[in-house]
Amino acid sequence: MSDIASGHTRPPAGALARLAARPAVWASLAFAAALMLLPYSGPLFHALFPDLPRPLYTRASFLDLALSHAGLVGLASLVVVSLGIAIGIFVTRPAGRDFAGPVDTLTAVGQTFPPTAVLALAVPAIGYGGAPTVIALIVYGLLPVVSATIAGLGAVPAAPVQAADGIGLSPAGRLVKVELPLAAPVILSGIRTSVILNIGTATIGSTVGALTLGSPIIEGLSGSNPAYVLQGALLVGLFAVATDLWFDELERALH
Amino acid sequence: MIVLDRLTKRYGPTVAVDQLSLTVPTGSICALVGASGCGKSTTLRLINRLIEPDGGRVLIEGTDAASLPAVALRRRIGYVIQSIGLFPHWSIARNISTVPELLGWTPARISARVDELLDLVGLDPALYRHRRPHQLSGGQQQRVGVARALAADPDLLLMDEPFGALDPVTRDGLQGALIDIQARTGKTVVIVTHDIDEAIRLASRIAVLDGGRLIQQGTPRELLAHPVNSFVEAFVGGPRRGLRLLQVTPVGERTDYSVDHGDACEPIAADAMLDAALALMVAGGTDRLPVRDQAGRRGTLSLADVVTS
Repeated sequence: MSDIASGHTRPPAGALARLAARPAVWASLAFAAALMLLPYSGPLFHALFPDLPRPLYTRASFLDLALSHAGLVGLASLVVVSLGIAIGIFVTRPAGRDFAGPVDTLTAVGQTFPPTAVLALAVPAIGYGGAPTVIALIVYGLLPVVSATIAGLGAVPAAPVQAADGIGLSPAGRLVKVELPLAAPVILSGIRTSVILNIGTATIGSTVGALTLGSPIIEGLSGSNPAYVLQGALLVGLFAVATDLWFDELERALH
Repeated sequence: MIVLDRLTKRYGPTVAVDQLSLTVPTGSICALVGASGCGKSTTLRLINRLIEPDGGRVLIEGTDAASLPAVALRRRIGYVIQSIGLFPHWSIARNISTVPELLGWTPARISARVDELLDLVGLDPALYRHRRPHQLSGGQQQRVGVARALAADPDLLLMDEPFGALDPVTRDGLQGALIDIQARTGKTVVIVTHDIDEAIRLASRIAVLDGGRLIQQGTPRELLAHPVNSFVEAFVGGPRRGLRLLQVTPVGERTDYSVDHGDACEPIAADAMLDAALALMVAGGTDRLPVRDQAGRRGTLSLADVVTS
């Protein structure tokens, strides 16, 4: 049997094996397929929830929800990554070392502060929609990036740093050429945690009028429509899993 | 020429380096030796201003080191440390080209220099250029460390216990390589070590430090023959000092050229050291050895002349 298999199926098996080794591709395909097929799944949800008159969410297209969701998380993550790494660098430099304690406390407070409370406080100041959502995500997502940057820079081995100083790298050169590249895996894992957290957290943005994959969930909760909740949750879950697996690939590429 | 002029460094109430004055002639190897905490590493780091002095100055070829920007100064001075500190995320070639790149050399010049340096430190460029540091043994890594320090062709090389973490066989090989490199390039080398044998083997001058102060400086022979006090005497070997003295005394000095011992066995070279001669005597069960100097002159070395000058 094995000789037949080796004659015929090896090339496609090899390609399959390569694809199988990339679960990120699979998860992304599953997410895309769900986005495309969900609008046609009315009969399925009718069968699952026969008591509901309208079991398929149609107020906005799932694709629009996903794009808006990704945009909000992407924007927040951009700020979180640049601000978080900058803060992490600052408090590990001689000039900023005194701020390490207060910054640590502040980012920890930011993460324990419920994002819903941030939304509630932000709405009166800047109104409904995407803006308060992005602010809440920034506050919530900062801690993992700041602490990973501090931990990563702190874990850079002493010898290359000492050598960098000794052979004449400037402090900035040492940071960019030696410290940050060596701290990159740890920093990346902090970014990963932050982004994945915020893909989930962004759903609550729909309570203040932001368009996210949380919209069906929120509407399903308020309108006692578990089918909507299921549809939103399925998409958010696939989005988070696919993103997480891409980070996994990135981390492996870095090693 | 490197001149340390009343160099002083304090840490709180502790004086790490105390009014230290020392001159290192161009093209020589100077070893700073002493026990842990004697200030030898601090002194080295004061030279390239990894630490700023609280008093005194460092003159490098007549220029006050404090008058140059610290980073520019360090790019002109090679620096090798015990923990090696190769950049693990870069290839061997890129590690070596760090300083030339900072100095803006052209890629072609850098590439040629990398090959030249790998040859100099005894690593085949074709084999090692593209490897990562973790693929090399400790000894090979430190050879790369030396190559990196020499990359921009500095006149001065500072070495902080460079071979301290290596096994004896590897250390011996690297010491030999350093002697060879120094002879070929004529660099001025200041090396910190706590190993007196390493200092004797490598250095043309040794400075003994204790409590941040210079206790004695001189050639290895001067230190071994005339230690100024009991501290230096203990440091250079105590009861074994006599044996080390044999390591630095050439056979020619004790040879009687009026007696030709003949060709009973292969003659020893007059510029070999007495420890080698003594080893031959013990191995051959004899108290006399034929000697031949570079001019072809023949003579005899007797055991009595080895032990008494």
